[in-house]
Amino acid sequence: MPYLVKIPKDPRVEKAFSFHLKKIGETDEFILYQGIVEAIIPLNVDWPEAVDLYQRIKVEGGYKRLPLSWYENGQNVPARQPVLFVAPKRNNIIRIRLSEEEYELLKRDAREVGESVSSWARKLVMNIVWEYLEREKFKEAMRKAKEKEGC
Amino acid sequence: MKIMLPKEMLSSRVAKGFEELGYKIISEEDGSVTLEGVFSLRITATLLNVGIRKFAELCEKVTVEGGKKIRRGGELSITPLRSRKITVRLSQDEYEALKKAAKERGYTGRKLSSFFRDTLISALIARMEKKGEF
Repeated sequence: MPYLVKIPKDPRVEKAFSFHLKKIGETDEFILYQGIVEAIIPLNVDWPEAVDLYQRIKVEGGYKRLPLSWYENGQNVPARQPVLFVAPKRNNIIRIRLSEEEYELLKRDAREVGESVSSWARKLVMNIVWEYLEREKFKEAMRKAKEKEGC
Repeated sequence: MKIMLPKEMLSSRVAKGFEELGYKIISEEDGSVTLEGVFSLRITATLLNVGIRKFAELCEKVTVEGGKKIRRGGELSITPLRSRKITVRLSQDEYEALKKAAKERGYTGRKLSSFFRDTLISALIARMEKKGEF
């Protein structure tokens, strides 16, 4: 399900939003964008202004965050430039059980890349799933093309 | 998880399987070997090239510390005790994609979380191999 992001008109931030999200509408005051997957968008404004801008950005069917720090070289450092994090709502819950050792391995791996355990688990699995589905789609297209050639 | 099994069960193919999953031999005694590792595994009668009765006898001698063994016919599953729970939240698109991939791989209905866990463990093993930890 796509999510909608409504931002106030400001030429400094429009370019970055257009690069990451699909523009679907515009009024005199706002521009409406649509997103499907999570995106990290540089705001191209200074911190005090970024906080004000963040409060005026509205997200429907998803959520927004303005991280004050991020993970760099193995530790949390204050964010030098403001970036907006937008993602679709995650209403579906999957619970899995892991052994203590499996959990520790996952935790160590997640820490190395600066992610939480559940977020890293989701990313690892979903990357494989998207890749698998893309490969299947490609195989299907090749099969159809061969069938056509055969005709 | 520690697995103690009769030496005759550690054929070259089984030993290779253990090695691929990062298991290490920690002790060898008369007729038995103890291995230590993290991930669950399966040993089949076909892999050992023995009949079901002989396989059942061998499985009786297997002991698992920090995990459990279950034999179903010619297949022995050894799994670690799963005491940790993690909750993962997915968007609708991600959930649908996961369901589709799981169905195509033969996981149906309530096995979605099994598919998620199996895929996660495979991804972890692949990452560890890449990092040279195995």
